[in-house]
Amino acid sequence: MPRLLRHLRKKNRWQSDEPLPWLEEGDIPADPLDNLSTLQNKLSVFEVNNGLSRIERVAAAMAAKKELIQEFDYIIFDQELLEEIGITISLVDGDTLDNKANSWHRDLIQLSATKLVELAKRLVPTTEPDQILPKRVREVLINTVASGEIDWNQVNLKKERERAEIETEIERLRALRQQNS
Amino acid sequence: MIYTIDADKLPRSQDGLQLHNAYVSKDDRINDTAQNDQGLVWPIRSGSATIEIRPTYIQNSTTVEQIVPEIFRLADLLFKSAKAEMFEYGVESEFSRELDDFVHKFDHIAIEAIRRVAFQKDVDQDVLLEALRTLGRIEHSPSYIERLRLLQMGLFAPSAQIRNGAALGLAYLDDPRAIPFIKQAIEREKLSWLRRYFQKVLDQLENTLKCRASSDI
Repeated sequence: MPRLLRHLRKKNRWQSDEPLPWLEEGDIPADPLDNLSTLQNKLSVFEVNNGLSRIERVAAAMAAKKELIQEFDYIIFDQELLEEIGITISLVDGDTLDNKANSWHRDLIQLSATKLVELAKRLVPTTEPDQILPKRVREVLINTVASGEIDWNQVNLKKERERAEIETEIERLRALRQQNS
Repeated sequence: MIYTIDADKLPRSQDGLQLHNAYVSKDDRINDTAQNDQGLVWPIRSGSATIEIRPTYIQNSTTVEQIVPEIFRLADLLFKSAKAEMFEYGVESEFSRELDDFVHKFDHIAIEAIRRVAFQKDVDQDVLLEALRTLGRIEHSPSYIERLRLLQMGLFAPSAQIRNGAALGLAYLDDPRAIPFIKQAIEREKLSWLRRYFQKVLDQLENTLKCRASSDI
């Protein structure tokens, strides 16, 4: 059964660490919905199954279009859950700089408010967030660029020092690979 | 060690006056309070380092007591105004830039000021996380040890969000000196997701230590 990844932009709003006495049984607080914000009634996810390497690759792919490298927070859930709620998945390529990662992208489409809340109600109590640290995101990005799967000229990182360091590392890695081949 | 603060970097007092030629020295003796005939000394943290400010020239009746509280007030203002900002993933925030600037201007006094504000109960969680993340990312040698200490302390805060942010800040700093603190934090941590996060940071720091050790050979 395929497993899907959803990036959490606001991980600190996913689960409350304090008890919420005002919350009715079976309900969830509203904050986590911030991490399930839709665009044109669609929600973006990636099919990653159980591979950490895929998760890390997605993290690096998303980082490549950003101004700076940050930690990558995410949840993983079974695709089966979507079938139970009646949510449709569409195979739509992502728009990261990594074509391989783009091929793992899926859109959850035709989302009504009811379906979205049902999804949240199923995910929030049972799915703990996980994280790729920024140093690891950077390492994977370097590897992916060095292997030619992301075009360095399109990477959007803005900090000059960070760009220079990463570029040096990419060149070093390429030289090493050339030496070994 | 004596630090000289440029006059331009000093905060203005309430009536708009500026302090000139103020010198800051760092004394690592553990004293509750101390005072000398050239200025005022007060503890920044109980049982640890004190910071002494000795004004050699003060305009009108502006006193030295106004300097540090003013820096604390600025930190409070910084955090409060950041509440209105929408933090975006992978984008440097205005708050982060201002915090960076604040630390560059006021060195370790800034770190103490940030600690006082950030560890309050009513601080906005998004702002807090952004602050702790920024403290790990800032490139500023004079405040490095204070930032490392603050983040290490944060691992044991009552708030899970501070503990989480502190671990993240330490991941950005990537300093293996934090290893014993993270290990202790893992032992004490009751939240499984946070224990997992701490473990990742620990793995990274131990790997950094190994890499440094092998490059030293």
